[in-house]
Amino acid sequence: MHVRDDIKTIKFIHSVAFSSVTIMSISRVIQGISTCKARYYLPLVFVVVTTTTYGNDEIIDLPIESLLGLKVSGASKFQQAVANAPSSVIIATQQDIKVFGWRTLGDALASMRGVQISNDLNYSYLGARGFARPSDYNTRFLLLIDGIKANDSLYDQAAVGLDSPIDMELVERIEYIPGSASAVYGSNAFFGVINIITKTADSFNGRPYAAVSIGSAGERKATAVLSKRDDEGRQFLISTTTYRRNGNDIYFSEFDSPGTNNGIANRLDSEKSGNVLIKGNAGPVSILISHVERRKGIPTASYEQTFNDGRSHTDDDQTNAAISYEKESDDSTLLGRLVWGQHRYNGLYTYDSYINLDGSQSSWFGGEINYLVNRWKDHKLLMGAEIQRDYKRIQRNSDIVGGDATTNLSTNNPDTRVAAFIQDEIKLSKQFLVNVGSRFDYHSQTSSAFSPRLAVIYQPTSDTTLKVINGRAFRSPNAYEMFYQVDAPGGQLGNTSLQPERVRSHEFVWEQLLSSSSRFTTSAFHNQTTNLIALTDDGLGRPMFKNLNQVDTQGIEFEYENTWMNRANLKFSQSWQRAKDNSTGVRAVNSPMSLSKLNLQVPVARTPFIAGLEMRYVGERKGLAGNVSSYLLTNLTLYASQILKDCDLSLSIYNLLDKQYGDPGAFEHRQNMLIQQGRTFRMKLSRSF
Amino acid sequence: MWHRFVKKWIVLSCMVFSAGWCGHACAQVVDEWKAKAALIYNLILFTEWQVAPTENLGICVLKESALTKELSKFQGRVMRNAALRIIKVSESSGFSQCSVLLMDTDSLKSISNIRKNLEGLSVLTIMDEEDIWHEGVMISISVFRDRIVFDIDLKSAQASRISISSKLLRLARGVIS
Repeated sequence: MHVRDDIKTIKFIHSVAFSSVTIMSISRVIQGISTCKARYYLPLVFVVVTTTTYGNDEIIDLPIESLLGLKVSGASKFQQAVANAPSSVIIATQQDIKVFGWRTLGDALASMRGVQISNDLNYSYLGARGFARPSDYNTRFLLLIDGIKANDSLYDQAAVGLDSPIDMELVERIEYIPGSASAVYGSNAFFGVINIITKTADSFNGRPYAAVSIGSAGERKATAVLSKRDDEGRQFLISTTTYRRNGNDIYFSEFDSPGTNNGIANRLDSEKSGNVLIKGNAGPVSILISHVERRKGIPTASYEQTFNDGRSHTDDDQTNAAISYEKESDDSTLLGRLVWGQHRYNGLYTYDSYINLDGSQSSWFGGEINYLVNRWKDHKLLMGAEIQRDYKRIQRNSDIVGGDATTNLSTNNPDTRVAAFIQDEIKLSKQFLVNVGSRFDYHSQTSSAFSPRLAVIYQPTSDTTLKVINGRAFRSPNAYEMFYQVDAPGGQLGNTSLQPERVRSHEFVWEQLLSSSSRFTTSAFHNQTTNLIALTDDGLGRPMFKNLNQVDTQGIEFEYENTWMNRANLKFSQSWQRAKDNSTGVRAVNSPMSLSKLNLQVPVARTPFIAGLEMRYVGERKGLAGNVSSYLLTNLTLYASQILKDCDLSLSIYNLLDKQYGDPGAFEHRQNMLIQQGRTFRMKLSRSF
Repeated sequence: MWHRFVKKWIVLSCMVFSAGWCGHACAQVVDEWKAKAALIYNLILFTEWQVAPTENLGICVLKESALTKELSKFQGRVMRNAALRIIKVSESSGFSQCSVLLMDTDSLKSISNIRKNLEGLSVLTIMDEEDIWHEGVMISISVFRDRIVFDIDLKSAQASRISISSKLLRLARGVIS
């Protein structure tokens, strides 16, 4: 037995310690499936990697040292175990990020089956499976960074634009788990969970790394990474990013009059941001600190602001810190974690005779413990508990007239959240797996919630997986919805009696391996959302959040993926969906009936370049005042790895065909459609030193 | 709307087709199974049996897989005067013709049975895609961060009168001795 411990120690250093954070997040994602039991013949997700080209006979003649140094294409353990997850997990790799020139988390998510991104030229909003409410701050999605929650505690916002905590240069992989996952993750895991796996010193081979890019509209960005690792598996990484874009002139027909600059907002679509990431691990302990800050100019004159006033902007910054301890033994894994976080927002809104300052600050700390047990035959038990104290949830609003300030709002509403969950994966037979779990959440400011989930996974053959998933999820009202009250003209009322909104989801998934390099996935879903928290009015015309609507979404999705021997990869998905507001009987706003995505990467013959072509079709959507037409967006990137020694180059053209398209505006916009960027360019150069 | 939709996807299908065409025309890339097969070839090359295999060097597999498919491409190659042969065996019999036994995680279910049947034989046992050490497995291969790594249980090998070269011991990620 002691021998076994020896090798466990060796392996801990070599594998677990390197990726302790990842492993646990994986453990959670795959809901307690031991990664070591994955079947090697199930490469469900195809990762295209940069490898040297070898024929059959050449490889055998390679010295063994060279062989061990080769990168291999194939599936990692996580990807293999995807078959057992109670969802149809979607993954984007760092290779995809490079080849398709994705600049934000939103860009990556937009390429995924059933996901849509809309942008109001201030924030990016995420929608899934036909549900995408304008201006909801992505509160119905849970964002994790290496398994650590990154939604703030006031808006519960999952930031997916440049306000997102992690710069894309530092992303190793993005896992998107569609469907309700409150049974493990609690509030916010309403329609989906996004887990960002960040890079480690290993990803940079322990070498310094720098990337610079320039683009249209005065875009420039620089990232620098320093990393270090030692033979004992200790790793450390620090990175910093700075980004700036001047912005183009944007024309809004709604403001086309001589008094409002003929509808042209002069270079107000500006953006600047910065990121810092620090992470390290030594043995079972790992730390992660991330910080982001962003300023975004507002070109849309939202909230009836004065049009074309360059002062109007929002500032957001967020810091997350976590220290984790993970201990793995023969038949169990224990993860303990302490977290702290802070998010601040300050908006400056301009009016003819005054300035409005709107702001918030939220700070929280907490801890969680997860325990995965493999002790019993045919059972994989995952249990956990969390506590979070939101010790500051401050919101304020004031008007500045001349030098005088009038306070409209100043409130602080601390909150405590406590939760416990348990889940068991039961192997009924060789083919049948049952995943059953539930979670109880207590929030001091609102009602408690109970979220069960039952998934049956059937694998009649090693190539076919069928899943039936039934679950219930909830989202607690956030502090903004409950306590933001500016009782003045153009203001809004709070509602402290808001209840959590709930969703019942039913899903059927069929995953089929067609060959060792192609795969087909289809999913049919039905989500019934009740008690939906929506902005309405109090009867006197003042906006107020109420538990009002019942929205039914149902649809069907297909995805096909194929990888060719020359590293070419095609991924195509199609979703048809229908979202209907049951209380009014009308189609939901910002919900397209059809979404199609195509991502194709092909090596360009006789050059070091890989071409990444991305096409996204979003069907016609209903806006608040009329329909917003469908669009097909095309992006093209040429990416070359090692164009010079240790240098990578990428050239991107976004919106290649210069398609004029837009996203629906929300209640705060006069525009029914917010026009998005036309054709833009970017060039990026990166180097390891 | 449907008309436009169909038109659009006809264009896309053409693109897919052209990508497929390039796929056949372009060169091959090392995939996981090719690289693993080549590694196994090397492992055998640097292993010595007390009683050297004559005529045939049997690489026994318990079932067909992508890896065994790649391995079978080395069938017939001569290594130290013995020709490599891929032999399909069951968990309970046929082990006497094996110099090497390739296992995977599925074999773990019957590992005790396999171990019993290997008793007294000099067979190099190789486990694919397993990160946890199991008694009786001499070399385990896995992929870590897109690269192939292997671990050696020297004690097990010695007990079966198999010696593994110092080169392999040096290149292994972990060694039990």
